[in-house]
Amino acid sequence: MKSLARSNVGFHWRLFLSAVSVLALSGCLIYVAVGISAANIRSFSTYQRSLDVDLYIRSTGRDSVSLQKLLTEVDLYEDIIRAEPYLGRTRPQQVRLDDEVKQLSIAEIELGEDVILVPRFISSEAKEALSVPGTIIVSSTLKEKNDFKMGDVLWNSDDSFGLEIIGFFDAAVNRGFIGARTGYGFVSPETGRLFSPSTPRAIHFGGGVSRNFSRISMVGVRIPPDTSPEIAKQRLNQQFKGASLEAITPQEMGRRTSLDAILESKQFQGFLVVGVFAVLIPLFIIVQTLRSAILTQSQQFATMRALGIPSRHLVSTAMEQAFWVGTLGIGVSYCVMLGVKAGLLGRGIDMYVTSTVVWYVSAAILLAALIAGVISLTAIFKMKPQDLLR
Amino acid sequence: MTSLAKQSPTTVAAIQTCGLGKVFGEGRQRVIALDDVSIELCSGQMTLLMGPSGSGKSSMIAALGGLQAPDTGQVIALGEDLWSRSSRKITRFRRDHCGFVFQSGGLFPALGARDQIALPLTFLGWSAAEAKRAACEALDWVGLADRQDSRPSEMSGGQNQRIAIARMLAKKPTLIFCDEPTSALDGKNGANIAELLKQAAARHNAMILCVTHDERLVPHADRILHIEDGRITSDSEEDKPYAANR
Repeated sequence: MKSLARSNVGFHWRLFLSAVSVLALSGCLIYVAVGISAANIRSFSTYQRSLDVDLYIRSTGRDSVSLQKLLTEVDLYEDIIRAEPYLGRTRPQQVRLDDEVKQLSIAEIELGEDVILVPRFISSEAKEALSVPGTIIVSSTLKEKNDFKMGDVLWNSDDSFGLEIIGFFDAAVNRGFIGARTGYGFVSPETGRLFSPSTPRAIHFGGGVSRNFSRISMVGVRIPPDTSPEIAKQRLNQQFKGASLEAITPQEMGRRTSLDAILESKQFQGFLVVGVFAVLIPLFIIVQTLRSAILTQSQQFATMRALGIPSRHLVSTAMEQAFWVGTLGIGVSYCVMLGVKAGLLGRGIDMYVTSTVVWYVSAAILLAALIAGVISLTAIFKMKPQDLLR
Repeated sequence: MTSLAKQSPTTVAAIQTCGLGKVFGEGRQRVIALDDVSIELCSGQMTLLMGPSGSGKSSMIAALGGLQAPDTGQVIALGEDLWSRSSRKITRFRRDHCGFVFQSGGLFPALGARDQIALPLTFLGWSAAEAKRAACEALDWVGLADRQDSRPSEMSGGQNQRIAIARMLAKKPTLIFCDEPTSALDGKNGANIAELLKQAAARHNAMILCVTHDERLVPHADRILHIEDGRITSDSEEDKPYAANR
């Protein structure tokens, strides 16, 4: 037997339509605020997440002595078959193109076949092309933003060295509003040294181990192929006890990098404010809508009371109605979000919406509907059963 | 005012009232709805409560049916003082013993006829299967077995009133209260409803108190009370000493 609440929502659908619409639109607004914000923040760790690393090892202390020691004692760890220093070589640079100054983050990447601290999307062909000094591959985001073309030369600050664009990589790794700020370019260490000779840098030799350890912020490691990163991480952390070292997965590395960005980003706070209003304003409207829907049904509730149906059933009927309104709102907002996401993607703006985001937004929509339901409950008792006699 | 329960401890009446009073408003707005009403209503009898508008009929049915408390007096329903109970217990009393048929029908617009009857029974703790079976029996009894899925908007006023009666009878109440059950019906439908109510009284040995203006119900009644300005002015059972506070 269909419940009274479900029958009511279906039968009086016009009454509930506005509540569902408001919920769906507010849900969509939250999706957009959270999705764009997440894509933006996530883009801060795009580079780290794209590296072909199984685990990162970081120093939990203030200096990098323990990391330097680790690099010289790799053989002591059976879960590490290769280790490379992560030197934080991605830094914003100003480049000049046709008298215009552009912002670009240039990352130096090793070009060897076995190198692990290199983005997965840099193919062998790209590495070969980058081995020619003075070449750079840039993200498609910058291609669109700065009108970069193949063959363009980007000059350094004193016009002493130019980088010729020899390719673009997929913008998918660098979407979000970050594209409006900066983007990535990849060069070989040799090219990096020629482009910016005054910048202190690590000098690499075979095996990717740096001679200049002082700038090491992290170590990327390759683990044996048949070992799970999670298990290797746990084993390494056991071994690292007392050594001020910590093994983390690339996902954790990405999250931590993004978290730093969240804490620094004013933009995120702006999105947060939008998110709060996206919940509060619709909540007010939904309360009014649900309340008027319940008031329209006041005779029903009075009849239920006259029949001796306990108040808890009246409350559960009203709350179930709110639940169904919320559930419909979740479904509609998800569909609308997919449409908005596709539309924004067409304009180069990504919304990063994971299943976790969907769960949280859905929970927020449902919570808003249920809160509105609770606030509307007073309307149930507006009409008294004896009023049915008049 | 004396306690009616003490006055007639052996009575088998379904409902007794003693000195019932109800006033609405204050000052110039003050309206006396019930004025020291003492009556006794018996099981198996269909009693009509007739009177002009504003005479106190609805207040009477509300007080006797556990819907609205009187200001003064007692209602002894099935041997217990109804209004001395807690609100929760009064709700339970209505649920367990009372059936109502309202002028408007009081049906749920979204539900089909069978669910109209079955759903309230599930709220009362019946299983869905029991509730459906009882609903089908009740529909059959009121002659609407073929309209199980029809919503109120898809049926006539007479049919809706029969559904309301079926809903009321499905839970086999001991006390039945009807408020103008035939006012919106034509002669034939009105007679049908009256006959159904009469049968219900006999079938369940229920007390029926029916508020009405409709003279067509008079031939079906076992007893007729007239009320005016909150006072019972006549009782067809003249030998009842408490029949009217004349």
